[in-house]
Amino acid sequence: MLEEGSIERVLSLPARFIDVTFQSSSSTTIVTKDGRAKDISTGRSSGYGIRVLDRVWGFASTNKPGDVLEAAQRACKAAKSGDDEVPFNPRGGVVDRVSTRPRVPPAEVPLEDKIELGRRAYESIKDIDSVVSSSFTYMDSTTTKVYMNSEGTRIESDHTRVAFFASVFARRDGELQVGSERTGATAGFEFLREPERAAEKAAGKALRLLEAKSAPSGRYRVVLDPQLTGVFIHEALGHAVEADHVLQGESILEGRIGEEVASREVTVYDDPTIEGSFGFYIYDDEGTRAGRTTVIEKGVLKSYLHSRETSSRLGMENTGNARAQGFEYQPVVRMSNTHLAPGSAELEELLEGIDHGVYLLGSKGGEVDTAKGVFQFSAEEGFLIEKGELTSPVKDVALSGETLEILKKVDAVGRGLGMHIGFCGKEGQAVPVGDGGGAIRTYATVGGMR
Amino acid sequence: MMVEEALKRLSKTADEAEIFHLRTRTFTVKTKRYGIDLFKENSSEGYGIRVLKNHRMGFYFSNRLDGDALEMAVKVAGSAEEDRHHALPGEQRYLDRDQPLFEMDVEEGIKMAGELVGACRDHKGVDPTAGALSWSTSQTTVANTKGLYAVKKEASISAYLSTVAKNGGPSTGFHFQVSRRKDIDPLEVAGEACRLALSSLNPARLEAGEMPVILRPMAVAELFEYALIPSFSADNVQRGRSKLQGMVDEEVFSDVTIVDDPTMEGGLMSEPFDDEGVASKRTVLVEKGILRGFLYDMYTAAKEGCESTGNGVRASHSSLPQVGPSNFIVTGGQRIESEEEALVVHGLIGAHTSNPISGDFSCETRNAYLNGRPVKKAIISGNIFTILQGGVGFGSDVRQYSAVVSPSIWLPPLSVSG
Repeated sequence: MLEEGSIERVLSLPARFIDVTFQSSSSTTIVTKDGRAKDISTGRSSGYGIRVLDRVWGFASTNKPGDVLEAAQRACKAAKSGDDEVPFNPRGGVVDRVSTRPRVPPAEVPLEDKIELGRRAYESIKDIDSVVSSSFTYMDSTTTKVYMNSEGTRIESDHTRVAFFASVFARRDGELQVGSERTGATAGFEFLREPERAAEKAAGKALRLLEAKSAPSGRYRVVLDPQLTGVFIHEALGHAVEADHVLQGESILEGRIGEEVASREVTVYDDPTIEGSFGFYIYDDEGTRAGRTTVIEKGVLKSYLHSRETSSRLGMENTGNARAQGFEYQPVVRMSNTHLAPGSAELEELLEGIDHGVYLLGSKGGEVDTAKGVFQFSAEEGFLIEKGELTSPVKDVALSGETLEILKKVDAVGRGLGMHIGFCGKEGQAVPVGDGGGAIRTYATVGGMR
Repeated sequence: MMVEEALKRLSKTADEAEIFHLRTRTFTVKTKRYGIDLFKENSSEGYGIRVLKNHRMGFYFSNRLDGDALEMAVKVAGSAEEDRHHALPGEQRYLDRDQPLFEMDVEEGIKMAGELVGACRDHKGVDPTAGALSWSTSQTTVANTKGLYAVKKEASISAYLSTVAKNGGPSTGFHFQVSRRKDIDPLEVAGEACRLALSSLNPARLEAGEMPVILRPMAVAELFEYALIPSFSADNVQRGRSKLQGMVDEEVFSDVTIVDDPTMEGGLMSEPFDDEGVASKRTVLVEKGILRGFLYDMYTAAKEGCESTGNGVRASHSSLPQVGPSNFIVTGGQRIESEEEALVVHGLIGAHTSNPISGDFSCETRNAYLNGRPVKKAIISGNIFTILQGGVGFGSDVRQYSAVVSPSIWLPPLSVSG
């Protein structure tokens, strides 16, 4: 329950700016291991996050309504320390109420029906030769939030998300491989109609990996499928245009707005407004109305991604990218749905003229050093490209290189936008994001295991 | 409602029940360049309610222990599948050792964070980027209807700092310390982070090829967490997801010993009991290369008819227990003979992309050196099982990062690409 009285008192504490987020959520997670719905976890949580700006930021969170005022007072006191004065442009208040309106709210679906999804997924792959083990995870969460600040803003919102993760293990001749697949959306239970598809895709990957050879190591002409393109755009470019990284001196793109940083084939957007997307939101977590941001247009760097603070510090327009995992966390600059705009090439055209290269698909995650502009991530699977044709499957292949060099060497982009879902873990806060693009052709260092 | 009262109520509607209660309070002072960026305080309290009814398990988590939450847990059990391996432990005897606790006020924390970034002024040509000082206290209660009632209190403190050196770079450095006692040294954290960034300036390009690799303790921990530890989980073993399955009492590695020991003095993961209330004990996993066993929680132990090793771990009150390591201590008989001609690696990028089953990995390195000279970019690839079979050497600089307690480790020639 939201305690209006104590919020009033918090918002009127002496500080330059205060905001309070009250959040209440319920969720269900079901892990089906080898056909058994072993771990079923349901529950609810609620609490308050209070942010105070004076000289610097103070933040407090608690799930005890009785502690809110005292915690806010401690945050107020701490916010007066430090010699810095955080620039923060004031603005007018907004009152609004928004909803993602799921067609079938997960709360109205019997638990048995949710368990059934994992069972169906298992049934669809259990008899496939060489499949030895599987895990399927069903997740739903429904969150209601009230955001209030000392400028008079009050935004009430609710958000429903569902997701289904599959991982299938296959073994042959002592070799064990795993294939994974994820699907999810800002939607209700209606979105997860075909758990079998995710299971079959994951099984297909595991089986292909059993056939795969180790990848070669060295510098190659490469083609990245839309999913890996998305991960590259998120990890290598996206994190480097987060304005907090720029301000911390941790971005290779510092001071380069308006410059050509990629080939003319490259246009990149960050777009939280894509209906039903995993990274969807209407207002960010400091009450800024969200919109599509053009990050790179035909190779030219157009914008960083901003929060209120970073846009105030850099004197740039706020893009509404301040996001928090939940009330326990302060919002930081985050991506939403980040993608490289598709081009017109068919896959065959992308492969054409590559004598000896690697086609890389999917991602097992990665990391990036945005200050040095280098990245590394692992593809889920790959194929050798020989004389313009896909030949042997390869496995355990890492891709790395210098972000800008790779962006400059993109000489063709495939048609069709493929978007994938994930959770970005910046600063220890997991927030749902989407990333994708068209397939790209470029050069990179491929590190395989021989 | 109190825990005892809740268990009393649940004993009327369920066969067995457990309440896991976690109360935490964490303070963090984040730094940005030379200043304080954010002061943060999180306090939270939550309950995880687990019930067994007709061998079906129900779980519900909540910030409040009330009638609704209890009812929901029982209701979930009604929809769950029957599984005879769900089990809760009875009363336990715990090792009687005081946990080191300490108090710290906000002013003291802000002062220490100031020392952390301020120390960088003594190092020319390098600046701090992001850092933090964080301290927390927690109280965990695990109680069940089989007579178990266990309470533990813990405290910890940590500091980390990232740095960047620009002239001749940019190059970056990162270092951190964590302790269960109030004994971390912000000056050492800052000094090491600055030193790493500065010593990585003007790197040379590395020729691709095979060469021995020495992983410093932080890199060892990063690699082992993702590529090795999962294979010791009984859950993975039982489900055919471990290369070590069926190899107990066989020689799996060369002269390497691995022990999981939650009773280790001063260990970051030391505790009197695990998150199911099972008393902590030392478990030998590998003895001089011979595989001796795996890590179990109550469920996986029931499945094999053995005892839990006390490795039931919960991420929070809202999570069910899973098998996880405590202090994962790695030692060996071979010494590192020479660091010459070996790629010395302080940290890894992308260790989490390692294959947790096959042990294959391919990671970019952070702060890597060859014969004392920094290298620009190096990807090291290999298989953790092949490496540990092949003979590795151990240094004497033992440190603990996350669960892994290890010195630097010398690895036989690996594929390295620049």
